[in-house]
Amino acid sequence: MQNISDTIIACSSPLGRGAISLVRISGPNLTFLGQKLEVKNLIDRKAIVKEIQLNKDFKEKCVLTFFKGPNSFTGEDVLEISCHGNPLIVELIIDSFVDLGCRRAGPGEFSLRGFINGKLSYLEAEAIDDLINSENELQLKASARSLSGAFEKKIDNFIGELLKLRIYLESNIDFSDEEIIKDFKGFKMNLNTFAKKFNDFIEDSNASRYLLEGVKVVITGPPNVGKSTLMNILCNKNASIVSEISGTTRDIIQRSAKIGNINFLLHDTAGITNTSEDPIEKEGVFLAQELLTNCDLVIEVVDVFSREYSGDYDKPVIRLENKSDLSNNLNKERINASFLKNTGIEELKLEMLEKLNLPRSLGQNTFSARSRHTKLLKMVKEELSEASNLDSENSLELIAENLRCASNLLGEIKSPYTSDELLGEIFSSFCIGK
Amino acid sequence: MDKFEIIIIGGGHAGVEAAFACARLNKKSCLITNSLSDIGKMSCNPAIGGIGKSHLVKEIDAMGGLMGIAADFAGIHFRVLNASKGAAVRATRSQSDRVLYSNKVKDIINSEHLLTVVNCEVSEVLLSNDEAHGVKLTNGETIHSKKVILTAGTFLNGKLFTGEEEQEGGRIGDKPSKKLADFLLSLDLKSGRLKTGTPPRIAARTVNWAVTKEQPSDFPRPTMSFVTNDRVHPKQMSCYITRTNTRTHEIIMEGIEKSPMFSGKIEGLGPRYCPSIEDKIHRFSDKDSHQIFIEPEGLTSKEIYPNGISTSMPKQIQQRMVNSIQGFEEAVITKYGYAVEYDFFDPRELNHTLETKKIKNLYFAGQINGTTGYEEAAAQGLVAGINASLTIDEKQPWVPKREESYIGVLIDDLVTLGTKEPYRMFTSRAEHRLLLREDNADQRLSPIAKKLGLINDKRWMNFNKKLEDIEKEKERLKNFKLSPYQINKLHKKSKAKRQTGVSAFELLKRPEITYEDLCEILNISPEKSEIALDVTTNQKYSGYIQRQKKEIKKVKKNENALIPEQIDFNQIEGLSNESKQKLSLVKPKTLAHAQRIPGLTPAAISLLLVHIKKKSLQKDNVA
Repeated sequence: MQNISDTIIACSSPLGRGAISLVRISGPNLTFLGQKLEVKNLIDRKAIVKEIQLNKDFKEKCVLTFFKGPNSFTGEDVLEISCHGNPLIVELIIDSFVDLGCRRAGPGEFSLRGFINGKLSYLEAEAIDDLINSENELQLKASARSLSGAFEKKIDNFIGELLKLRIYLESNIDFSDEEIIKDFKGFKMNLNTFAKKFNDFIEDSNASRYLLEGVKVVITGPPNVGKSTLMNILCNKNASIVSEISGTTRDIIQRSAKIGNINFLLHDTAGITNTSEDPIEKEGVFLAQELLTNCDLVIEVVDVFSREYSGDYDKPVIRLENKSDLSNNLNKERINASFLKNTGIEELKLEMLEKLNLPRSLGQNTFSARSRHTKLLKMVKEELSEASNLDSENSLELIAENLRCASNLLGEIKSPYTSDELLGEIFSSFCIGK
Repeated sequence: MDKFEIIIIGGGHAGVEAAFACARLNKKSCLITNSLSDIGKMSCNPAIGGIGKSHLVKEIDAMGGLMGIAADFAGIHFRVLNASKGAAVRATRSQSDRVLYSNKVKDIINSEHLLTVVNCEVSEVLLSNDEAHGVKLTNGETIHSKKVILTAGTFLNGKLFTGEEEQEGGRIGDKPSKKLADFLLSLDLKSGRLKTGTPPRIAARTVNWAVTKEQPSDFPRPTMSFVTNDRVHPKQMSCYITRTNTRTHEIIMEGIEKSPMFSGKIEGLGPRYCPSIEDKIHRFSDKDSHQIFIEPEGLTSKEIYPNGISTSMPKQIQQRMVNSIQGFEEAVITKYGYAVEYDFFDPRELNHTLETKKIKNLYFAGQINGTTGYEEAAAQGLVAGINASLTIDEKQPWVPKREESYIGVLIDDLVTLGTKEPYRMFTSRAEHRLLLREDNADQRLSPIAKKLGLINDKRWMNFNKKLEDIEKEKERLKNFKLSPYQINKLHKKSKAKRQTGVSAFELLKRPEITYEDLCEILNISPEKSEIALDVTTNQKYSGYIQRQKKEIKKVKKNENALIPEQIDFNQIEGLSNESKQKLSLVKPKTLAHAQRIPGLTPAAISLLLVHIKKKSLQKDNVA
């Protein structure tokens, strides 16, 4: 376990060459560094230029910016050193400060300190991680909005509204002898309105997750209809081995394709033939089934020779027929395509975006919801729909239980309950220096 | 005087339950009271039970306590509240004949040969090195013991208020325990003031019953105890309902500045949910009428208790106010209403065993810990009595868990949250409400009671018989597959969806299908109602119960994360002073307990975690 009261140092800009690199130092009291650097006074929020002796014959001209705690990112004293963007210089600077009593920071330690000192909420800490890992503008905007606290505020609002609904139930249970408003119909209406509002929010969050983590797509269908070819076309890459022998694809192959502004993670599955005795192929079938339960979208590919093939999926599905150039009659239930002739692909891409049901305002109101959040949000949704289905005044205590759980789950989005979760995951997934 | 193992100070509901528990655990104990006749006295309204409270009574009963039995022997009116709602929130409420109740309690207490009752006043607890070892009486005598349980109720620095009159006392007609209060204050325990009140009592013959609404006892008549039946109930009486009106409210508003609550004479905070009538009218000024339950005080009593108009207004205003109410036009007040203000000690200075953290072998139970209500007091008495006894035998204490009982919720709330107003139990305080039903209190607690030696073999056998009957009934219903004809009938009767190939047991899960409907359609004889209720409820709740069990498991993980006993919370780096104070006061023993402390942020919890992990790493390195 890390020490949380010593002085830590790390390079906060990406390693590599550039105009400027930034080294960040945080500790409860950095006055000692001021003395060692022969700066009389480190003044809050003031940048100074200072030459630092890095070894016997080398001095580096740096810009030092001091932030006095608690008004800093970590809540401690923070010193930021801007130097020339050369990894060697950065290393020398860090070395010399380690000699002065600093310790190299571990992953996420700066954020951890910010969290511990009340500068960042758990959600904000997660948002920082997202912000840094953003790969497109939408992600960037979404995580910035989360970081600004908008997501948290939204969750708080829901918790507040739930509380009002719960008060009605609890007072009807605990004070049934008193004269309190007993308007069950009105309550049910409020509950349904709330559930609707919440579902809209979930759709937004799903969209956010698509932005942040990509859309998981499973390409499935009978063997040798061109699933791997399709994947290659979508990715513009020669990812899977394409041959004419049926069952060539044994392992699950994953590639990402960018369509619109969205990252699609395509999974090419083994052609599902349940009859196969080959253990390797069997394993492939098992993996494919697992993928089907965890994906966001299914693309079922058949060809003109296997039109009767049709699977049941509990996910949004796009059905496509390959080799349509070999047949005269079109299949109206499917997108007709020819991978060989490169037809039908644009139609498929549009459909893929369409199926996600993305709000028109994508990137305007969305937050950087992580799968940790969407998982919890989905559980809340289930609680609400169970409560809405209880249509009797005799079940007040069960509705109350659903709403209590819903409220707890929302609370867990703001801050996880168990100790492992609380300390473990997010801060260690951070890079050094954040 | 003789040497005792345990001394119990106070003969109220906490005191008698504590003493009875000690006696059942074979401890030679001594109950000291100011007044022998007041043992088991109901000083507020003559009712036992109610929502959340009846759950406590049933649990006390399952642990072998006396409250439920006394309530059944004295109960002159029984009603099931929330009867139309699910089993978890149904609650039994009883009106007692005050005299019968107190006599039954005395009978039970007096039949315990290991228990001595002494009529004396205690002036201080004998201490050496922060350990209690007996008490000193006001007559100068001392009595020694290994443990002392203090259940002083509202008697510590009690002050009674009626209008501008003010006198000292814990209950009308009784002296307060000033010496003991002064002694306790010298111990430097955190204390505060609370208040409670009672309504005026009215001569029954002066009530015009014809204009009130009658509310008879329920039938079949419920019981409070698992070991009694309705044949022990005395003759039943009805309650009646009337209401205040705008005239009543005018009279009160005219004199409101004379109420000690508003004139600033009373500093203590009263219970929000049991407010005085002047408080209700002041706070809910838009309501022009409030309900009053006219409760009988007993079979032979000539008084009634008008529940809902607790007041400390001047006598003359009380009289006018009462006479303005329908049915009370000619009513004669026999005792005026009053407010009591008293000291209580911050329960956060107690362990879950109810032993004080500062003074070993000293236990606090009842209203002194900031609670209100007989049931809450009795539950604490039980816990203190059991734990004082167990530690003498060097056994593990009994810390009731939140997921196991309302007693667990009560204790944990008190020692974790403390209280600012008199603490009353509600079902909404129990997060595992669906598991903690009145009817399954015996299933939840009998095994514990048996293990600790609190219930006898006969009772244990009867309990096991009940479990067997439940299993048999489940099997019986599992073996019934409904015929298409029966399914049709069920569909007609309860609009249930037609479903084939399902057992009667499975069908019970559906909210619209009742046990009675099933029995009728299957043409089978119903089981005893307690068996039927248990089987039905567990089926109806099954999905929810599974989820609650999952939640409990999750909490358990943090419940098992122990905070080292010797931890110094002030040493935790980065922690705010406020968090340090909160932790130091409550001294949580587990991570889950710390998480329940209000106002401790996730960041503070993380710091605590980091600190513990670091310390344990250091220890590992040394080892």
